[in-house]
Amino acid sequence: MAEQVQPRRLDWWSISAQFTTRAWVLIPLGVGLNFVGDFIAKLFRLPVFLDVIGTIVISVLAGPWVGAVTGTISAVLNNLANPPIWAYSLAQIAIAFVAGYMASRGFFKTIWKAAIVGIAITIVSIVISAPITAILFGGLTGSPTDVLTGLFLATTDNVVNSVIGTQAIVQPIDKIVSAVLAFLIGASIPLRYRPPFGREALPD
Amino acid sequence: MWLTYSASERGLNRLNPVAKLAWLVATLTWTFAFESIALNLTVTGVMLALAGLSAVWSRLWRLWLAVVVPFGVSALIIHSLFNPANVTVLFEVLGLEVGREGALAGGIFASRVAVLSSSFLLFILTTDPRLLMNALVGRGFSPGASYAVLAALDLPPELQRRTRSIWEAQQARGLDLGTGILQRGRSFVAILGPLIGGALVATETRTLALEARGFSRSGRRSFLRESPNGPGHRLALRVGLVAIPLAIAARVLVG
Repeated sequence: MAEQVQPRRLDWWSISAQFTTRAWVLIPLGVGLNFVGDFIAKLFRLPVFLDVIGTIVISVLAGPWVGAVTGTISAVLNNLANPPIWAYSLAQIAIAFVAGYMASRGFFKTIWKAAIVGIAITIVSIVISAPITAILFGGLTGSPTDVLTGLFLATTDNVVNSVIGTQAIVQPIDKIVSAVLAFLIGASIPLRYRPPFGREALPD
Repeated sequence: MWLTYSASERGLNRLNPVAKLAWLVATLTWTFAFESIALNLTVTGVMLALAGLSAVWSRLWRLWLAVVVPFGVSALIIHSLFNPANVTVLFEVLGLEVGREGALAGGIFASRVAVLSSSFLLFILTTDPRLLMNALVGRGFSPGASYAVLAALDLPPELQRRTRSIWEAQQARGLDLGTGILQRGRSFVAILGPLIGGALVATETRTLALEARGFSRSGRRSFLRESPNGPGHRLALRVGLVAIPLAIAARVLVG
């Protein structure tokens, strides 16, 4: 009987395997994508933020630890425009790990599975961001969504629930679109440019 | 808006960058440890004064106001009207009651953002990122992470410029921005494709160039430029580092 070849399982937890020179060079690209994604979305008047698209792309290409570093650097550098944003680096790290782990389990092999990753990222993002916003900044972010939060606060009398309500309206489309776009971007990258993690996580 | 450091020898620009980083973390720790409007406003005043002494005031104040004013107005209005802790009514506006407890809470959050904004902006405008990264690598920080941070500082404005060029080129080739969201989404992908492709080719070249220069080698590294590290700078660093656990201890003791 011919020996069955087992599909290779990606070591999503292995730090040393992920931080190659190519991975370090990809991180600034991921950070740049997080900024440019938001810029292009405004240019095209699309109702999304796309400020985590780079984090997801790098997590899928190079692994969750590299994605986590990408997200953290993005959050810290975002202070150049909006100082309170550094506090959300935890959310970026969580998104990187969810995307990287699900990529290692084959969720970036098809566009529909990538959309499921978007739903998972939405939930994680809300669960982590809402308490940060509520406790550190009183439920407000200084953006137009504060109006929504105010309306929810008037009816719920609970700051955390108000923030969750606002995020539940604003986040899902943005995160699902980000995950699907990350799949399309990753799948369009030629194999020779993909790190080992990305070669296994994305379709050929 | 993308801020960059401009070389100067005035005020905080001369201080060791790691000492400044320690003081930044200490400032944030004290701000979040104590819910005090008076403390936050005092710290903000000190930061703005230091900005003046360091000759970065003209670059700082507009961005500081652009962050603080919208958040402050939002926080004061929403919390004074809708904060669940509101008990004491100060006055009524259009049938809505303005509460004292909510107004105080809004004031705390607004003053907190004022501290965050002023301290971060002051740090960014008075610190050469390359000197900071060199100093951190000298203290054990990952050289790979140092490269990633410095490259990430340069890349977003470059990517934005390339995006505009690609956008104009695609429009010259007949790219239709259209009115429908699906059409705009398709056009979005038409811009992102060439942008990512070009960036990836550059990634390949950069990887080879870094490997040729011993990027991944281990061991001690030397630097072309060293940050100042005299006795005064080392004392400033030690005081900044001590202030961090002191804030936590003070908070625990005060309760």
